[in-house]
This record gives sequence, C-alpha cells and structure tokens, in this order.
Amino acid sequence: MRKKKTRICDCTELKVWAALYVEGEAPPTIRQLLLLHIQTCRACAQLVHSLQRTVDLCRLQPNCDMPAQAHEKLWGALKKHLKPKK
Amino acid sequence: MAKSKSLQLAVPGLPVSDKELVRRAQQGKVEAFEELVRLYERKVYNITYRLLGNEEDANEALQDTFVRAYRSISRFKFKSSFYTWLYRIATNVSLTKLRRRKTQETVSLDEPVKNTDDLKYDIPDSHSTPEQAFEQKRLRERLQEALARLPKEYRTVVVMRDLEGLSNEEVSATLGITVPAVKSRLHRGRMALREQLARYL
Repeated sequence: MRKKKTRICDCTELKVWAALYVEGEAPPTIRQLLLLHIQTCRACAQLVHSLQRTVDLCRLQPNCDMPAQAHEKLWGALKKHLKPKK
Repeated sequence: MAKSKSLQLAVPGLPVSDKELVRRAQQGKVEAFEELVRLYERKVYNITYRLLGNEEDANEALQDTFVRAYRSISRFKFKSSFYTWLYRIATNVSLTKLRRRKTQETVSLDEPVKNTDDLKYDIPDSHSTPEQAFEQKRLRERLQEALARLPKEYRTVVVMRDLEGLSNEEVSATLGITVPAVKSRLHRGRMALREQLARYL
C-alpha cells in the first residue's frame, strides 16, 4: 500500500505563490507549503529572497529631490496660463 | 509666483481642504490653484521622474500635468480625490511621452544585466558611513536604470505600487485597469526587476 505523501508544492506553483507571499497575502496553508519548499529547494529560496529584497528596495527608496530648476520652470510655465476669471 | 503669499485661509491656522481649494479654483481663483500646485508639485515630480527616468522629460511632464489640470479643473466632478485625478493626468502625460520616444530602450526580460559592479544591497540607514551612503546612492541609480528597462506596462504599476505606495485599487482607478490586471503586471514587473538586480541583491 502506498504511503500518503505530505503535499509539497513544486517550483512552478511556488513562482505563483511567491507573488502572494511578498504581498503578505498568502493564506497560512500556502505560506506553510512555500516555506517548506524553500527549505529544500535552493533555487526557489533564492527566488523568494531576491524578490522580497527587490520589493523592499523599491519601498525604501526616498522621494527624489525636485531640482530648483524644475520648480522654477513649472511656475514660469504656469504664469503664462493662470489667469483669474472675471 | 512661486514665492507668493499662501492662500488666505478660511479659518486662520487651519489648512484649507483640497475640496475647498478645487471649488475655489473652479470659480477662477488662481491663488487656490497655485496652492494646489504648491501642495503637489513634489509628488507629481516624483511620479514623472520615476516613470520617465530623466530630469528633462520629468520637468516637461510636470509642467504639462499642471497646465492640463488647470485647463480641465472645471470638469473635475469630485468622484475621486483631487490627488488621484492629478495623479492620473501625470501618469497619462508621462505615458504619452514614453510612447513618443523615438529611441526607447527596451530589452528582453531574459537579457542578463551587463554591469558587473560589485554593489551590495543595504537598507538605507541614517547612521550609514559615507561608503555605505555611496553604495546606496549607486544602488538607487541601478534601480532607476532597471526600472527604465522594464516594459512601460510593468514599470508604471511597479512605480505606483512599490515606489509611490499606492494601493492596488488606487492603481486600478488611475490606470483604468482591473485589480487582477494590476496584480498580474505588478508580479511580472517585480520578477523582471529582480532578474535585472539579481547580482546586486
């Protein structure tokens, strides 16, 4: 009689679930399966890790500094267009 | 004009809401529109710069956005926040610019990153050493380059969600696409970005 295997996700499924995982939207069972999988699959562990870091990197980006020149040009352009209604 | 006095407040000490500023701007009060510009010019610059990837185009898009907003503010119906509406204009202006670029650089998502600089990922830290600060600056530049290489459908969503912090619903409303489409593009965009940044992470 065949032993019932514990379900483990494959690498294709993991790619789909990784999206949910980094969003914090993976249901507990999926999350658990994913974490189990990456314990034994180095490629997927790297994928999840680097995907998470990519997202973190984007989220940690400070706002760009608006150059003074951009501010001046903007107001210069607006000056030509902004006219009070009579 | 930029240094002109702030809008006279209805109640001294209390800020005037966006809605009130928009209403006044719709009545032709230029100073109300100027106040809206002052409130949002930096945010709009951020989105135009991140979508277009260079100062010159970002400046033009910034100007076009506010000029267009001024011309059409009478048609603003308060169905969304003023900022969402403005954001949509900025995005559309930027996307139109992107489409018009004759020498738009696009590469295969599978193409490996050519730059081999040994750049380490680090979380920005206010106590970082000059060397770390330099590395972080370079990493930001790499990120901007990688973003610029993404197909615009992915880039737009990644910029809005991960750099600008909008929700899926806000991105959906701004771009006029469904939330599942936002999620799909976001994941594909992130995966493509990950590929390009892999050696730096």
